[in-house]
Amino acid sequence: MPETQHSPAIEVEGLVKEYEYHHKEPGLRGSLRSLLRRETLHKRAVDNISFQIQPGEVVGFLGPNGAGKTTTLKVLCALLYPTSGSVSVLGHVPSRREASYLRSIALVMGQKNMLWWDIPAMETLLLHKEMYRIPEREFRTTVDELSEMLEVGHLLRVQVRKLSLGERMKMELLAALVHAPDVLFLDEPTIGLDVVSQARVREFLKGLNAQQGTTILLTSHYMDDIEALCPRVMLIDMGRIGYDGPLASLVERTSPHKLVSAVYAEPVPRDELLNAIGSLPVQPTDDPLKVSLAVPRDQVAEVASRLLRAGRIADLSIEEPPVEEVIREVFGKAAGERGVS
Amino acid sequence: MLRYVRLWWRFAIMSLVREAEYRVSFAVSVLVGIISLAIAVLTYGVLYGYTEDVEGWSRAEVLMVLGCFRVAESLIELLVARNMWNIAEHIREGDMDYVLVRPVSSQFLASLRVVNPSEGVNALVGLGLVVYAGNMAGVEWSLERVAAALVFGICGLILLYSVWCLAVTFGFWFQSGPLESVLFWLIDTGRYPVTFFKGWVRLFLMFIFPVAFASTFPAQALRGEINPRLLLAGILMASLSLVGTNRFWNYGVRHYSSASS
Repeated sequence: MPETQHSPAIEVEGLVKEYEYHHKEPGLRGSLRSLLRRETLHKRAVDNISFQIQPGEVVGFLGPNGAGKTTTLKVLCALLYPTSGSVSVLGHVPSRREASYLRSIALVMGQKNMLWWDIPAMETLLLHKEMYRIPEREFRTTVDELSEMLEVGHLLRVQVRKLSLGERMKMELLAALVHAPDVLFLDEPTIGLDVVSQARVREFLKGLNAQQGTTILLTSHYMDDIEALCPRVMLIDMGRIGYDGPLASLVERTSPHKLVSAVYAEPVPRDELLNAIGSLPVQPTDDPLKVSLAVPRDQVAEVASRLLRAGRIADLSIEEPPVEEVIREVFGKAAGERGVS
Repeated sequence: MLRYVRLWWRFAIMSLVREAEYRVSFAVSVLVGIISLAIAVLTYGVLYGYTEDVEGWSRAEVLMVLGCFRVAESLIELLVARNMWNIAEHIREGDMDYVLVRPVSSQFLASLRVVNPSEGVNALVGLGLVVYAGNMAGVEWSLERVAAALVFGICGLILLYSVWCLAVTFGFWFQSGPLESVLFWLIDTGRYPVTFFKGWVRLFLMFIFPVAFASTFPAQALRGEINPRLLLAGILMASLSLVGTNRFWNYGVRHYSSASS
């Protein structure tokens, strides 16, 4: 991709997307009234978002439902026409919907099927070969390569409806990638998959990024996806970007605590334990022999050794707080700030 | 253009592969087609039991119209009907995403990707009726007549497609309307020669909802009445409507809201 080497793969500046919708009174009378006079309302799903993504980056969109992640993704994919702002992907303006642009991107949505249900996936692949004008030889090589990476070679000629959810998702990825896109957009790609399939899909995406240099932008509800795949995350809430940077520093910044837990082999004298805990906040646990403490980062070592000394220990662990919690905290704060302003 | 033919061929193959899974429904749909045609033929039998000639159409000639109509209707069913029924729902449920993301005309994809192969049999049965009734009516099968009938028929199909497409495109703004189903019932008026209708209804069926181009006019051409001005009008209307619907569709796509998942 020589033309994108020095410029960002994706450039978004002041993007706004508003949806129009109509206010409808409940009941028959309301319906009749709205036939005559409809109140048009606007919902700002994306509110002045700007960011850049470099070629080869893997970026995760995080945010609650209705935050504007998927809307942003769909504007980039040329599915939605932006209300205002400028968007450029690989030097194209997506909303012009040029075939050359659409040929260089791919979209996979975990909740929707691109494969024809009643027939083998190979048929859909052949359709994509036609739609994307993939030369025969290139098509064969790509399909072989991808099906090997995804371990689905033996399933290409099986009817899609007979595949398991995990197999189907892998097949959807294969179908989306036969034309070797430069940018891949993923909307909840692992939704509903079992843990093993999730891990397999993540691994595949990682490999794809490493080998082909494919730029990947994904939204996911699963923190594990984001943690495993995305060195960079963007938090989106209420249509705005709340944070843009590495996941690790988000966790550090938002939550200056680590979680220190000790499981004792036998009940510990109350005084000993209280002494070890000091004034630190205790997290509720379901095990009477387990103590869990939120400890400021600089006191972790000291607290851990106090807990070790307090009684006969069976297990001691020091963890980052769950990312879900961090995210919740960020969004909670953001909402609070909005309330004040 | 060639590319789109190849693409359509792929759709046809995929639909056939899928249909092979449901052989019973294939057979049922052919059977339903034949029965409904038989009922229509019998109805004419009753009508022409009382008279030899209705508005200048003999019984055999009216059956030719019915045959032409049957061919047109089956081809519409074969090529676009299932797609058109789906489009409104796809727009509403946000299922156009995977159509709009492809580097191919989204109108083409949305309106032609599902082929209904069982209707091919019905089209052949309709063609059989045209030939049978034509012979009964003493039609001379000259190249000129057949070609004119074909051009009328193709224009008629394009016009019907365009009207239907125009109606479903409104779905990008309004959450589906009864418009499409009204059109679907309107198409039935094509089984009668358009001269059976009077005044504005006739004009409506010739130029607004031009089903006459798909049934009456081809039959007239086979009968030897080739009106060059009408032929030209058909070609012009068909070309304009193709361009028009495509523009309108592409404009509608901007208003797609992709019912966020």
